[in-house]
Amino acid sequence: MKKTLWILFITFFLALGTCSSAEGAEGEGSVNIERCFHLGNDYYEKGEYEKALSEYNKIFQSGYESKSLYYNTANAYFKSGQLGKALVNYERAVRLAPRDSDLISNYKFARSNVASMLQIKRDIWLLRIVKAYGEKVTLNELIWFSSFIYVIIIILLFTAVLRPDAFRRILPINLALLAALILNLCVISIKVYNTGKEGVIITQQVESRYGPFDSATVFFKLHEGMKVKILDYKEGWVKVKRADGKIGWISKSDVEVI
Amino acid sequence: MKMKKILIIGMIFSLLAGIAAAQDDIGLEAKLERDRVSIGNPVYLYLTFYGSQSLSKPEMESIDGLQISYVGPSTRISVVNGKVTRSITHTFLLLPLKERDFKIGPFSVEYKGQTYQAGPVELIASSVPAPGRRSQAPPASVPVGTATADKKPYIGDRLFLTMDTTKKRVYLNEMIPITIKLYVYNMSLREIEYPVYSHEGFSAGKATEPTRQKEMYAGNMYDVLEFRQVLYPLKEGDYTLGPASLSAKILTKERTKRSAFFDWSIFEDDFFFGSQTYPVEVESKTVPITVLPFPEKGKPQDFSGTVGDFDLEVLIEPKKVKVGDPIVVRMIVSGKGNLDTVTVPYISVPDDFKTYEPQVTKKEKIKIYEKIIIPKSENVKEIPEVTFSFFNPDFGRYETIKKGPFPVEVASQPDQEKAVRFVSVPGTEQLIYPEEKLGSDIIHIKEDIGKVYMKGKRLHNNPFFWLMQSIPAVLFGAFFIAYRRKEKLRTDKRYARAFHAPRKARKGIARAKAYLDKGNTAQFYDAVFKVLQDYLGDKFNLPKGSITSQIIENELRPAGYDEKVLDMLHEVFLKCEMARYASSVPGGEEAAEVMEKVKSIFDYIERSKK
Repeated sequence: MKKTLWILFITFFLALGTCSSAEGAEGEGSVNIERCFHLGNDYYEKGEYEKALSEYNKIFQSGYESKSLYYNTANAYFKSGQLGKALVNYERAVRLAPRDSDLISNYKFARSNVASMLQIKRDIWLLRIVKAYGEKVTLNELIWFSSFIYVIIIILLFTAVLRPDAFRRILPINLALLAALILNLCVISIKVYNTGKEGVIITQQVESRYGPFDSATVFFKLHEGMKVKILDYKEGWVKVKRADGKIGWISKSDVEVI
Repeated sequence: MKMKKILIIGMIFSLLAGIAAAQDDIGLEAKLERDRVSIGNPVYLYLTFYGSQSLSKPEMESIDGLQISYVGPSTRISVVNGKVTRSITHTFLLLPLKERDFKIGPFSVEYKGQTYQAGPVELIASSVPAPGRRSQAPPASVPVGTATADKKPYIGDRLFLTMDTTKKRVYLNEMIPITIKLYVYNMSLREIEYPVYSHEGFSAGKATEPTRQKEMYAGNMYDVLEFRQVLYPLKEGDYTLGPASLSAKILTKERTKRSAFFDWSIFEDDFFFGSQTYPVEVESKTVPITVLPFPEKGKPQDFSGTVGDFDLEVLIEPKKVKVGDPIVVRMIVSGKGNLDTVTVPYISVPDDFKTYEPQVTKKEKIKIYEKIIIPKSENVKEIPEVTFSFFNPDFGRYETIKKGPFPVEVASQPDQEKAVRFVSVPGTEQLIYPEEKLGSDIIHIKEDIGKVYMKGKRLHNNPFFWLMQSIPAVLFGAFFIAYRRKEKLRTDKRYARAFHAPRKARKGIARAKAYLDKGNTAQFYDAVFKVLQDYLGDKFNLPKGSITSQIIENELRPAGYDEKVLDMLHEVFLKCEMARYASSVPGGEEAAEVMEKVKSIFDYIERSKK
């Protein structure tokens, strides 16, 4: 029985591996991707940032993305003085490689250039821990880790049926695994929920209004590079929430979704 | 005993005689509590009808300058010197609002077809207090309606309102203290509301809780309720404040009089204390105010309309920092004046500082500005001078307070420092500052493109991945069900027999069919009988040898099986027994029919799940 379980376990993860390899496939256009990327890098090194961006954007337009591509694009935007667009791409890169030290360094450096300061309340300690954990791992890593814990729990459940005495001895381990699985699922849910619902201001200064029309009273100001939550869309306007909780409407062209 | 009887008869006779006599004393009487009062002081009018207690309220004509309200009726029976008198008194309350002589009445009522008249009565209302008033006990009378009063014209009034300020000529934004006083003499007031008044062109501060005090005025000791509020002029020009008006209710306590013996009033409505409230509204005079503009002479450049007398304190924290570290410049403005007009003190920050908008905290008499400034280089040696200008209305001049410059030490920043800083400022929320610069430039681009993904293709939106995720759970579920069944078959004999019965029956039927096909009818019926025994024995957990047609009555019919099926079963049992024990064995089509019936019976029992 033990042997059967191990065979099932290994088969399962081998099958899952096909999902991963499928998602990372480089496809027919891989030669062009490489070429465009290196061409973009060459332009960047010559200080021709607009041309570099043009090459990088060709890869995005062909439907591919990578953390290095976002990183280099962000660098090119930063060098060309487009702080907002640089931060959008750093954010995208961070989602793919949250522990890349070069990326984090550049991201923080770019953020320090945002001309704004907001008073915000600190979260409770538990939420801070969960958020910090979520910021250090990618969505895929979280899903893989959850999947692993889930399979371990299933194996332990087999044990519970076949060897109830042995299961009782390892019950605390099982409960800890269950807690870890729940935590992971919560973080996954938050990350998936936030996908497409965060944006970065890409114009130098934006006046956020009480309503989605030009004559509406200005409520607060947003500066280039500020991260906002996107709540709603309406005819060329976006309803955004600033980090301090203030909500207003800005033009769709002033914000880029991460 | 005889004497007593004579006395009682005598008394009854006297009483009856008195009542008979009283029939003749019918009449109406009008009487004022007093005939001379000052304006705003109420007085009672009593209209007494003798001879009956059922007369309704007489109508009163309205009189200009005199407010009349009906208080209510009271009845009385009095026995004086053996004479019994019945009467009803309708009481009215009169409140003179003008200085004049009032002629009230004459009054007339109808009783049993006859008209009775009384009055008129005369009431003299003057602005001078009625003689002997001050020595009187607090009268039971109360004002009703509106009493318009102010200090000067209504000296001696019992209830009036004043409105005043210490400043009649003020500057823009200058604080104007307004005092509204309610004077009450010998009265109980309830439900006193805050005074209201027009203050167009002024913004109003929060009204303070009223204070209560005693104040001697015109020889009387008044209870005074004082309301204070502060106003701030918004535009220059001449304005009029007020009049202020205040609503309240006057509480009266009434008590019946006890006079001579037998003149008691047990039948009056309010024998003991009774109380009643009457609404009243008093109004003050208006207050003229002139608002002056700010003088142009000597106006400082950083003056932004602050008026008052203020002080400025500037605190710098910390004084030793590294490049990129935040310095909090805390500017505390305190003093008297309009805090709403206080703006952030001026600080000319040079380019080698990065600055942020100040955070403001307002307390009762203090306004605190916390400005974050971040030195960009170690060449910074001081934080420049902070200036704060305001207009002091007491002296009619501008004043400027200067603080600083403040020396600071700025050291260079080591490279490896934590980027995110949390700076806690006491009394405020947590401030999160943007991350400091980690270097003077960004790190170079990456040479390798790394792992390339299809845009938007992630594990969480891959259906195959989630399908795979369901496999372990499905496997476990299937395993668990199978394991439980296996365990049950092992431990539950009844369940195991019932579980295996259909399979065994199918085999038995196949065997019987083989005999039938071979034309071996006798063995066919033997096989059928055996199949029935095996199946029914297993299904109902009975010994196989005990299974006969009797099982229909013992087990199947009580279980509610279909009668047709039971008849069919009975028939099959009969045929089997006939074939086994009789010489003639039904064969051919009849045997095939038995075969079909057996199949139908098994099929029915399996489907019925009983």
